[in-house]
Amino acid sequence: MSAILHPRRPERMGPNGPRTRREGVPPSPHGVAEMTHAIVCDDLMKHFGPVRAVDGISFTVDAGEVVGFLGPNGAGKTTTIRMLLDIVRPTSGRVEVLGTDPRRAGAALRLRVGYVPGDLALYEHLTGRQLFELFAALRHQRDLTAYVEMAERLDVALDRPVGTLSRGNRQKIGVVQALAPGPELLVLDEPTSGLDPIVQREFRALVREAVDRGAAVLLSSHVLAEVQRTADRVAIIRSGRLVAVDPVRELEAKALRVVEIRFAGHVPAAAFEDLPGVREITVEGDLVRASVAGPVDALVKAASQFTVDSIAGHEADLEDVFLAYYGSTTDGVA
Amino acid sequence: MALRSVFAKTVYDRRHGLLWWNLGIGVMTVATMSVWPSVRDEYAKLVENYPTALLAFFGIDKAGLGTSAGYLQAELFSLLVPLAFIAYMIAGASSTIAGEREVGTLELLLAQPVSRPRIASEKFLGLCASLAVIAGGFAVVVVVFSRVFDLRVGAVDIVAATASAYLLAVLFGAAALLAGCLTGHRAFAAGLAAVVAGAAYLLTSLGSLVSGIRRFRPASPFWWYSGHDPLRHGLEPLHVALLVGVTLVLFALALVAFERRDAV
Repeated sequence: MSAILHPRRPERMGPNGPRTRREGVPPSPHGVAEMTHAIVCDDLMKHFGPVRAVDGISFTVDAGEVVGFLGPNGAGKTTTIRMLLDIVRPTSGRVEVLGTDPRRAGAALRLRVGYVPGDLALYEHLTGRQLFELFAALRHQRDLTAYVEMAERLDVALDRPVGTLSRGNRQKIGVVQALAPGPELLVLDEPTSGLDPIVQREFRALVREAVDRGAAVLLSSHVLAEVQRTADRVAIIRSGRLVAVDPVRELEAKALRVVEIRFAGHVPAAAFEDLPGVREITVEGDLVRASVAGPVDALVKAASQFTVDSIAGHEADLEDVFLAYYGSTTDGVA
Repeated sequence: MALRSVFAKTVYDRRHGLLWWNLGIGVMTVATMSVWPSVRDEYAKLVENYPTALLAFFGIDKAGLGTSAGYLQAELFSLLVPLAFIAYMIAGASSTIAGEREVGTLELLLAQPVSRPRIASEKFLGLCASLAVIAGGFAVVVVVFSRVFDLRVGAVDIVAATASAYLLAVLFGAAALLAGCLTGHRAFAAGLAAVVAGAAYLLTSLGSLVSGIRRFRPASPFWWYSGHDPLRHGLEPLHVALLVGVTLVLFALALVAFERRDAV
């Protein structure tokens, strides 16, 4: 767990510490702004009988940042997120959301949080407009303008029963109900599943606007590329444990990339030996295939002494990331 | 209809069902009552020949047999009407929390800024309000058609007996809600509440037959409903208090159970 950056960072920061939330944090009597994390999980555990769904997780999310919550399906992302919303109660450990205990703060806290569930199930007989009317009313809002405008941006019909919509369109309804009220914290569990790439881009713009307003965002995904495009930092979870909490940049630096270089003619294998960052390399005639961790600079420079026909690289998938972090994809290595 | 609360949504969701339940119970009631003028003379003799045990089992009081109140009690109020009301409440209450948990819609509802007790309360009250519409419609039908078919039963007594059946059904609805909040499984909650209701009914009806059980009859909610024959004697304050009191206890336990559990 040494890779965790600041699970137990001091709660108190000077006035020039990381940015403070615009609202909701009263200045302390000493005139020192008190830094409250939007989310604090401290050695959080949730066991279902013998199953350790979440097994000692610690991380924080601050106002004005997007933290990606990355892990394969079944790693414990959804269970962790449900503990933030007081839908599931921790077996042990501490969870704090916007400076309060979700269990005790209850409805007053949820007024400040927007949530897209991973297993999104909506009232299928209601239209999008009726759903928004209900959810807005539960937030003591009558004005649906923000909901309607956001639904228009995502291009989803509001006057048809939600059950008749495609999966992607239902997901849009789920996204709008979470983002439209403009909450201080967004908890998004696999929010883009079922959304086509154009809508995903619009979604990222909406998230960015929320962050610019000062919101904190926790976004879970099992897709590395989505987290890379959206998040500032990444918490990687596997089998109920955090593998790392890193800035996205570091994750990218550590991630393995597969690079394929085709040359105009045969190249000698000796030219590609012992290159820094290259984990695995095969040289077959005019084709070189390499797994590279971090910059591909050394590989490209080595290749440049020959005539290069084409270079293709594919983005590392989640398993590649785990390979980079533990050198193995099997469980229990950490 | 504006859906601005969980209560409003609950009633809104049940609106189609309300229509059909009112229609079904209304048709059954009118059909039963329409027969009265033609069986008035035969009915007493017909039932006279039934074994006493059978009559007692179905809660039919021999003393009232010749009367139209006795007829209504035997044909509608002894079993059919409470059964219909109870079925409505058990089906509705088991699907409120446990049912929504099973289809997955509970998660997003719980993520809204509404407390769990409030969600459960508004859903249950919405269900009770829906049953009130059904029970009210039924009472109106009985009052109106008792004039049409010349049954001599007072409107106040009809309302009293209907209200008593309503309270009985709400009690078993609260039981189903509690079972649903404890287990999270709709079918199990409905089944358990139905078994308890069946046992309570048997306790009352067998108690009329078997002397060994007779003294336990006052422990059955069905006894609180019909033991004092509300169609002829109106409401009995003690029995009303028991129905309401036990309902409140079951409901409070349901709120506590819901508040404590993992909700998915």
